[in-house]
Amino acid sequence: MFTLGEMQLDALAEIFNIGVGRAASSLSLIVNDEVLLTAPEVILVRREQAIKLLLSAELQQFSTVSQTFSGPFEAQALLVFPESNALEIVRLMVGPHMSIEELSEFEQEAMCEIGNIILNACMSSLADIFHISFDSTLPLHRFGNTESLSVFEGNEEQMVLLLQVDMVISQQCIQGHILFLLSVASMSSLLACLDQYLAAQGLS
Amino acid sequence: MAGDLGNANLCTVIDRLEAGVVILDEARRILHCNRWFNLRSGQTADSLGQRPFAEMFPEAAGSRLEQAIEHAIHDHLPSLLSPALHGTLLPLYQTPDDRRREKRMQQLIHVLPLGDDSAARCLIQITDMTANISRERLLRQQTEILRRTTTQDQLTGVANRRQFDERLATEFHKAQRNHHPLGLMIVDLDLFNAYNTHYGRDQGDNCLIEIAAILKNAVRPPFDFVARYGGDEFALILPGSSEKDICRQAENLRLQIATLAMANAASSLAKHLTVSIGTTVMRPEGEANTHTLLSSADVALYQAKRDGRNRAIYFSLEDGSFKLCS
Amino acid sequence: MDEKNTPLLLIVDDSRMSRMLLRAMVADNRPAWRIIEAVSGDEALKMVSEARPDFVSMDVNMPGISGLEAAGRIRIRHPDARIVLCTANIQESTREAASRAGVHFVAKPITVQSVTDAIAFFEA
Repeated sequence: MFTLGEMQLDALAEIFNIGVGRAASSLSLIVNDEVLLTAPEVILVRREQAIKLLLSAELQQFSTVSQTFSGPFEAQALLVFPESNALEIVRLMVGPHMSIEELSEFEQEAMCEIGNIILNACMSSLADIFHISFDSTLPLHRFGNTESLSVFEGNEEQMVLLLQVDMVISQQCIQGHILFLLSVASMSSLLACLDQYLAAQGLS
Repeated sequence: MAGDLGNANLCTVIDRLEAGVVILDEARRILHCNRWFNLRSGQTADSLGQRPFAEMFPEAAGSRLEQAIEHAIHDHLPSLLSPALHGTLLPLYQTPDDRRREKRMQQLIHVLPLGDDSAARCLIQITDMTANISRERLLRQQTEILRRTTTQDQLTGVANRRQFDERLATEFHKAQRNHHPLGLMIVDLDLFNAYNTHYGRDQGDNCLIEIAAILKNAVRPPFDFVARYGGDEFALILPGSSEKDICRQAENLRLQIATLAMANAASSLAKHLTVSIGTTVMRPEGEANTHTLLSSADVALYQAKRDGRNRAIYFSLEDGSFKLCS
Repeated sequence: MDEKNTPLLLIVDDSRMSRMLLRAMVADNRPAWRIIEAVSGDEALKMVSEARPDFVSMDVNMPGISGLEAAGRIRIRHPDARIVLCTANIQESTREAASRAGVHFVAKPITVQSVTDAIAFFEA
């Protein structure tokens, strides 16, 4: 089991905040309105702890957008919202005059794109700052309950970097989570990149 | 294996695809585009070949498509642009008739990295989604554009932020010239997020309409001016106002809104909807600018919120003190 | 140089990494400057009235009062202090709010470029 030092967590939080800040800027460009995205804290947990944290919300239906990134380390990234929150985001982004029928036709793709923007922004912020590069699959969107989510079926050894995301659009605050699922080997590579970066800045 | 097909064959396959294909090089120039794309864009392969994508499709400039292309070439990351959020981003048309009528195709766009190994760096793939999207959406978008270009807030009918900025600049110069005081008041609905979450946005909208009406009634046109300043904020420009006048007016407005008794079960402050008001008066002289005036009213509002909301606070620029309006 | 005449910079950021990075890069460029740090807007307001910094670098999203509010308050009480918003919140509305409060905007990440930009503004 890894534990991260205060400086390492602080650095990861700051890097991801730069990522979600960029994502917010892209989203605000789309909706022509202010979008606030913050990820106040990063924690590193085992997979089963991540599940427990997600399930502590009373809702069992989730919307997830996932992308698998590969490069110096491999990570499955997931943006997870309770289903009702996801619908709310789409409604706010697509427009209040959109009917439910219209919405249901497009919610998958719109949600997919929103996830794509946020996940790409997080990973490219990591890539920029560490001077590395990733490949990625296209985003995949799913509605489903806990059993159908991949986070619940990975192997025991996996570690999860878990970020809570607070999103404010049109005065509505919507909460979700970003999860990065990493194998032990990938986690060590990520930490190596991080330590190298901190050392290069004279911060370790 | 692709190797068995050969390059020529592969080009034929790409040409026959029922989707648009555009391939860019590292300099964001168009290396190749298929027949589908040529037909729908009305551009021949020759006219597009080797030209910068941004030059051929200026609508992509500053858009999410441009960011997605950067992501693919610079970061090697793929992106998806959904029709719900972008719709008719590129000038692509199903028929020449549609082109004449400016009726663009609804598009689902994938922007994919092709790696650093060959000249081809980025693949843009476009799928026609028009059949899935109703005509109303087009109309709605047009209404939206109109709304943004007007000077009135569509919901409440008072002036919008744009007009407010212009008016404030004008009044500021007038006050500066005539050595008159200029009052500014910002009215903020308390805990309005919670209200919206609890009662729904329609009900929230009704509140905004009612409060806008009270503010409109309270001012003396044509001197005073009311605008919707933000989602749940209104701003009042009150030329010639003294500290005493503006404090009394702020407190009156606060009480008037409270007596509307709009039920607010979501509020921890009161059983009804309340407002916080920040206000200030300035005698614009010398180097002074509208920033200072706006910041002062903002600071008064912050103080009102910090003191527990549901109150009006005056900020004095002379001595930097706060005063509860009464 | 006399201690009193060297410029004093206040760095306000809840991220320790960002504070350290900024401090290191400024110290590289302007070794004479004195630098103090605050981890929140509230703490910054206290330090400003005690220490009277010439320059302030302010993050936006922090626990407690926002950097924008803190910057606005500092600006009214101490109109001479030059303030830079140094933030990951890069959208137009934040830039607008910065210009409304009369402060300079610099986007994170903190790089040699962004620090040079901030210093140029402080010294302008």
